[in-house]
Amino acid sequence: MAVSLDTNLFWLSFWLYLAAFVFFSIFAAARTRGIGVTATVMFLGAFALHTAGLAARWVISTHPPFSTMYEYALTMSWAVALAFIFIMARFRRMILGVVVSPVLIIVLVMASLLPKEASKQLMPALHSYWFYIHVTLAAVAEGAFIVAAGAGIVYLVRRKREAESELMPSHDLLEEIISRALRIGYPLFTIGALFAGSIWAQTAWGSFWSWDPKETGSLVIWLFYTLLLHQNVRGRWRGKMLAAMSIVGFGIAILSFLGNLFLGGMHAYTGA
Amino acid sequence: MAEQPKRSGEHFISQRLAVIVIAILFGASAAGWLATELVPANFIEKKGMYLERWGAAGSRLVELLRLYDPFHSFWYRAVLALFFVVFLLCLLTRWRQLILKSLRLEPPRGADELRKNKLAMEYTWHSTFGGERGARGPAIRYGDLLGKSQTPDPDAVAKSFAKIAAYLRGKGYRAVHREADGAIYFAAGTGRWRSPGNFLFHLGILAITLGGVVGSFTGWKDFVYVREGQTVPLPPDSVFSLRVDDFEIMTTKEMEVKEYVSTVSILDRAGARVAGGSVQVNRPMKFGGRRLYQSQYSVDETSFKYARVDYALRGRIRRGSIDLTPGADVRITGTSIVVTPGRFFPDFRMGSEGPYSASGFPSNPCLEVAVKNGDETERGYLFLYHPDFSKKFLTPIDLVLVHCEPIFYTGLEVSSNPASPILFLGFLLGTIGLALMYLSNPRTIKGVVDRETLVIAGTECRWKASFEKELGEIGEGVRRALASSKE
Repeated sequence: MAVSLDTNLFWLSFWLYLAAFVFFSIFAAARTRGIGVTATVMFLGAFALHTAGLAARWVISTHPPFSTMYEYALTMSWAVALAFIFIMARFRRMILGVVVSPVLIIVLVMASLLPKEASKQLMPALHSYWFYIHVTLAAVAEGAFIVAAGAGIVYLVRRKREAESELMPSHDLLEEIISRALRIGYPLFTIGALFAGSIWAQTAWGSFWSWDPKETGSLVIWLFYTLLLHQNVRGRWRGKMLAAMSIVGFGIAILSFLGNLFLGGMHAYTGA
Repeated sequence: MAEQPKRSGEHFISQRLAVIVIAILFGASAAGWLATELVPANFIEKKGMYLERWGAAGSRLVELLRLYDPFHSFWYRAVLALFFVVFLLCLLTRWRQLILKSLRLEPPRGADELRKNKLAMEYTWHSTFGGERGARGPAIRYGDLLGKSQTPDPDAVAKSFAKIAAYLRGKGYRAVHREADGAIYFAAGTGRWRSPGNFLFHLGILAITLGGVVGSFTGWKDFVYVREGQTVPLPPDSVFSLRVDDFEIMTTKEMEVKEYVSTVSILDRAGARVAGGSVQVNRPMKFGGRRLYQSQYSVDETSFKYARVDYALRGRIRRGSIDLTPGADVRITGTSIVVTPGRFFPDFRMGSEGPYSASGFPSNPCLEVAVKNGDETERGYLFLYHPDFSKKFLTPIDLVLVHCEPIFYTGLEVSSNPASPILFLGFLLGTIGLALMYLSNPRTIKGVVDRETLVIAGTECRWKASFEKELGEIGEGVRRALASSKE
């Protein structure tokens, strides 16, 4: 089967993200600004290709690229890359790239293992504007959770290597990045994955909630982040604990994401 | 923010308890999630097999804890009930605090209270400003500007506060103040919609939980499988009947299903049509408090509606078509050959035990026919999409299946959930609440102005690093505003 344009663009962006990661790593070790700028430019280039790949996929499949797990992974990783670019522009910390880019690569590696065939025909249940609301918000929310986890890793690494952390953002700034990412992800996840998902399920399947494995997974993710934010507001899970828990949350989100491959249920069609 | 000391009665509905209950619900949901993957849903039907596999104790445990359907088990319902009760009590007792927390601004009681704050800045009229506080915030020594330890202007306090309040208003802060002992104590806040948003969100979640509970007791769901033209009683009672006037499956060229639509009529006891319309996925039909959903479809895997077969008589210039219906023999005109339709396979496959239909979708329709010529009868299969594989009969006739219309059954779900309005209200409140909560960034600044000093402290913020930066800018802005009052 001929490789389509979107797949070519995907692979190009993947290799460029990988190159950016290598340069970010060298930047972290050598602390040469030029290398950091090169890594950033590579990352921006990879993001442009990633965006073009998604656009091509949209044109080829004639629907927004959310209907398969491959497309969902691409969209989610795109949201992560966009969030990273925003954070880099806002806080001027190129060093975060050394953590965000590998996380992004992990998601893209998972995407690369999934079937990539573009289907022009959406199954009847997906013919709804709720589909776009539900999946877009969930993908962006999970992207934000990934950014929080990435910043959490930097936070923990910084604690261990306090002496050599001049390039690293301060603890307060990292905590703010984690906190902001969670506070972007949580409402989007609540509205997109749970509220919009339930309303759509009622319209398509006749019930708001069916305890489908994917639904349960979303509930587990939501409860975890609810717990995390309550503890954070209470002043309990701050700093190191917040960082660690944001990584745990990411783990649960990935488990739910991968669950589609083997859990079955009403969301199983997204595995194709 | 650190928790305030609680009154004795508040322990039962404390934030701590709320967190514990959320943690329990999280743990129970995660356990249920895992259980649904480990324990098959058909455990009860195949109990004997699992008894052998897991032993008596294991099987008993699964049965006792209802691990094959954990989310309808007593333990999960108990956790849900606990969550609901604590949540309800929490909202009932804390609603005022939840709503007013960020709306209420209270000026500080004294400057010392502010000086303890990490994000405090002190501006003094004194020419020298030493001590611990001086090393901390960006102190602006008005003494340097004025050359005096105390402002000589008796109205300076009021004027200074007016300047500060105007400056903070320009930054989006709302300020309140009180005067005491020649000093002005003020508080300025922004992002004040956070608390009402927080309350609305909690109210929304409560409504959704309540809707779930009400729905689980009052809602019902039923399925009807109806073939085109058939009339069946409409659940939940037999007051009305449902007739499927038409059922259509639309496919792409690649035979992928695009859409499937049932056109239905609702009939009263006398058989008169009282309502009707089309039902398709994502477009349910409402009737008398019920909703009809296009749930699925199936094909009768034994029979068919109608088939057309082209024939050609070998050795004779005779061609034609015959229409076959189930169970009816058709004689080929001018011959003694009789064609009788047999079994129908919508998705033909040949298995070790003979032919079968692999699915209910007509992907590979096949019709079994019997060809009788005198005393001899032959049987064979005719394939719609693969005519080359059709049976070559010894009888001098070639048959080609050119059309075959299966009997489709439309699967309609009929359900009612009286709690739907509560759930929709919950979604609405929750969404508004979340928008208010997360679009507002609450920050509070408190300060004291007297004839000797101005103390400003950031007392509430969500993001310390950004707030510190903002507070620095505000300090600089205040310095400029006050410096302009000197001129």
